Amino acid sequence: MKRDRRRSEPPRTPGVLDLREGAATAAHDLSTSLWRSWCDAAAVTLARVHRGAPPKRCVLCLDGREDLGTSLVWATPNDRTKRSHANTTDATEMGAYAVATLAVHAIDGWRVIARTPTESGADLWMVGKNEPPDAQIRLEVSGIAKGTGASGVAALRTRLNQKVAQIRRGKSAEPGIAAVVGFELVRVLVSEVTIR
Amino acid sequence: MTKEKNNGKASPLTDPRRKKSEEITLQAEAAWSNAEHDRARELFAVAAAIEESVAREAPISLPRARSAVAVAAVALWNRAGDFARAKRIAYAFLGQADGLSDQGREDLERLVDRCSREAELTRLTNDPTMVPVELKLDGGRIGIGVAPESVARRRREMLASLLRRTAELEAKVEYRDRGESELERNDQIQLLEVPALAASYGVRLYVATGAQQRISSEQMVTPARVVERFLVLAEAAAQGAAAVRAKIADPQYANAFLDGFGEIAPDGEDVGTVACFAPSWKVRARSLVFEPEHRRELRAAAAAPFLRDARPGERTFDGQLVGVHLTRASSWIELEIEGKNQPEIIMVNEKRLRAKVATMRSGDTDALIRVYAKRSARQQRMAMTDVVALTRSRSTSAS
Repeated sequence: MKRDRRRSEPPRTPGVLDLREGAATAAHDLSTSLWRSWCDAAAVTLARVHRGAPPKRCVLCLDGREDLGTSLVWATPNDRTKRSHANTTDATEMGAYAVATLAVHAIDGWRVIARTPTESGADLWMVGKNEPPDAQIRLEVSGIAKGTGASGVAALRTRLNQKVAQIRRGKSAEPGIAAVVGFELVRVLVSEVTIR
Repeated sequence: MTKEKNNGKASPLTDPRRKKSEEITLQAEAAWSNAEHDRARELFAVAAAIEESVAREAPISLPRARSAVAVAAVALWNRAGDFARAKRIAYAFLGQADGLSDQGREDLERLVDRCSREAELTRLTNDPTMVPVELKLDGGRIGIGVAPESVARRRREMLASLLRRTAELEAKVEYRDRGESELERNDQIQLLEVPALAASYGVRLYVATGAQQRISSEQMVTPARVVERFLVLAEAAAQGAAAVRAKIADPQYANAFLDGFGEIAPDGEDVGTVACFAPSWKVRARSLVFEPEHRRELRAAAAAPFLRDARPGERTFDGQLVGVHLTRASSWIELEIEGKNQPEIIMVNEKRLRAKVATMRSGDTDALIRVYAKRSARQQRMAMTDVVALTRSRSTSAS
């Protein structure tokens, strides 16, 4: 991971995190149906925890850097979309993939290029700008639908630590990025995990 | 073909064929969630074939990306239920000296192990929805694939016990003080032990439905729901006793889980940490790690009796159980209460309460108990509605 390269650059001003159809193509290179499914799941989860209409102010927090303020936009889900994502656990997790993908792109220009099935789930792979083709790293994502205030932030932080530990686990751990999305808090915590 | 080009080589992860595979995998996962297991497996096989062809063509000069696609191909053949093909492909990649990352090699070896175990499991159960749960012990006296027998046995027994309890909780079965699980006896659910691959020390059980095939409407619990709920309760246990009690209304069930997770958690000497997780794509549940302080907190909480408030119409009596008269002709107890000259007589009409009282009277000492009771108009006496031992024995609660 090119940490020095990114430190030497001036901080980016993130654009809007847009979950609506047709937006955010620069943040990923995934199949359209997979991306739509994640965005729909995010919209269903956001609509469940927020009464007010979008956009919502969103804070992106990367360890060791200043917090970035942006806004999060989603399309109000219709009944069919809500039915498709009725399982709240799945919707929170899949929705977190979409928001985290937009967040890491907004923070440092990372682009999610693939989702690959594994023994226990799936890995998300992403690349930085102008990186060589074998320099992709893992993105570990988790989401928490409800929770506000100090306890909500503490829960996000705990979950982030679990995700970091998950990346570090295993004999041949590789570097990665952990991201945890708080839907009600409208906050994304991101941590870089460097190789041991 | 892709933007990630270097020396004319493109990352196999961005191969355009993979987009089709991603879409088909998504459809397969949706079909699985809708209990269309045959269709899901067919779709997984189609996606697996695509990933396999991409992996076979991937240049060995890109070992990390090649590994990710090879792992995807093997994992998808595993999901498709074609264990033999999954293993053949894994061996083909593992047999080459180059072209895999260390992590990729480790993942493929684990998948080969899993395919072998699951292929063997199909001789015992035809349930495609079976889900593994694993405890990974580390630190203390735990070596790679080696653990003191009693340390491993206690945790294996407790894991099995708590999985049965979770199935009963999920099926809304009344708390069982002792004896065999009705769900297991009626072949609704079965636990199969499948030792995990040696990497520190693993205890792995598979939760499956019974040996007889059932239609979905007959199923009281599904393995995925049992494992998901178990892991939700494990996560609550890691947060503390209050979180467990908030998730389980029945205090006896709650105590059984506090006691059980307290037993599973490490002691800091023989075992340093215990990770608890479901190594399966079939459930979306988080893994968590128990530390020695969890053991201390949970065991202290489980040892302290949980006393609920009296419900409307109920009274509570704390005292020594000095007389038990539970025969065909009589069903009452005598409770010696401080400050009263005569023992309090309490009727015990319910079968479950008779069984509970019977377990409280053991040894020479009179047990100290709290009785919840309501006035029975017919018997003109107080009739027991619940009973809790004020001095708990830890051994029975997670049976």
